[in-house]
Amino acid sequence: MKPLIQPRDYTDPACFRAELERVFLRRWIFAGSTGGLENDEDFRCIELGGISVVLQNFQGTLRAFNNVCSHRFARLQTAASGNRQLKCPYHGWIYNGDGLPYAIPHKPLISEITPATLCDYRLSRWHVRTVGALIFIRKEHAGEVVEDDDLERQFSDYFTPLTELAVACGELVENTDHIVNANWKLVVENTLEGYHVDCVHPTTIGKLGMAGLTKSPAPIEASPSHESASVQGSRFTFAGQNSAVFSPLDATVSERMDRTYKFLAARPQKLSGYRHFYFFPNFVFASTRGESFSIQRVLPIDERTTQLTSFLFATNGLGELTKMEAALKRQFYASAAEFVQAIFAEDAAICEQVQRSIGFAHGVGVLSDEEERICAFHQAYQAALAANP
Amino acid sequence: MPVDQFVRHFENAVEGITPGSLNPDTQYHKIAQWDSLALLCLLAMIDCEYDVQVGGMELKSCDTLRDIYGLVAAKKLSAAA
Repeated sequence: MKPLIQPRDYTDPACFRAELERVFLRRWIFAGSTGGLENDEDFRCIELGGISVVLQNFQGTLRAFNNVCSHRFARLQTAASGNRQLKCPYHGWIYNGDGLPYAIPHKPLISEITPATLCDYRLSRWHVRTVGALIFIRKEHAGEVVEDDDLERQFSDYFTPLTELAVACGELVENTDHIVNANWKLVVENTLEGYHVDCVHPTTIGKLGMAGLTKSPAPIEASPSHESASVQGSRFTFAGQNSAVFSPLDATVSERMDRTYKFLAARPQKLSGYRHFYFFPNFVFASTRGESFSIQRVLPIDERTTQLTSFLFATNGLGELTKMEAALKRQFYASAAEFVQAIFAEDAAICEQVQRSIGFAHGVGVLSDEEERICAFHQAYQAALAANP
Repeated sequence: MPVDQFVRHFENAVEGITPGSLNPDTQYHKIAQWDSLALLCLLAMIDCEYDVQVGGMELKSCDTLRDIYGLVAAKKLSAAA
């Protein structure tokens, strides 16, 4: 297979601007978890290619807006997260959950603002959907109709399995931001193939003993809790612009884990191996045996810099644990968090190396069968760029 | 907190060890059952039975079960001080 994205597209500022407009501002993107946003006026900001977006709780309803005052363009929320009104620190305009300024100091002195023109000063809005504890946002555009099932259609056949897995997410045990000095596409591509595992992760993922690749054209089962027990080897599936891989674990390892981690026996999702979903463009959801859930959010900063945020959730539904089981649970998830951090560091280092050399590439390179999901990503990317905004 | 009791706890925590087969001078990292799962079980046992937290890296300075016991005892003492 040949890659469809040219090496120059990993370094070109004009290409980056086109991606921002046509890829990230035209579909649902993963914005983070609901943790820390449970109470009225809780907020969190994310950065997307220079655009600051504020997620804020308005009396129990989560809303998202461009974090820019309509008056003189100051940032409304200047901290990364916290609890305060959506109030501009410059002149004190306060906005409601519809994005309208409902409190404007010395309003009579601004003759242009009347009940009829107030909507002209509405904040730029984003649609918000939650799936379990996961938040997805989509930029609103004038005249564009977004159907109620738009997120379901974007996630295609993976929406149902994602929902089932997302509701099994319990305590957030790790949440870390990584600034990777590489284009966001390199970061995504790195998550889509296991070809690099032996070289980049010999002492982490490489020790898990996952089976090799077999290919299956069939879509992934709708319910991951009822998968076939006869699966042999890793296999890819594709749904819309998204892709997934399922890798069974070595049976001996799995049986030993069952005996050792008896406290996990009541978990609601008993996957028989490792499942990894990529949702175009910026969301990765993975789980090993339904014991923990590793999520990645890829947010481009510029054409050479990406913010990669990892979330590690424990499973819920474990019930009452003995003192020993609780201690084992703490060790288990601490170890999982350490494992995830090690992998992220290894992946970030190799992505940064590629970024430094990709500007000198000749040709477009080549992809192995193990990198088929990268090819699917390239197709989705090209389709997004070709679409009329 | 005798060291022999610590050895018994270790034998119970790590799967596949015959009770009474180890002693304080056993080089724990050389037993057949020793791997990353056994390490987690050991750390959990220390947390549960002795109410102290030991990190996996701290065990690198320990060669025998007696060494680990000494590390745990020292942590207990400094926690009590």
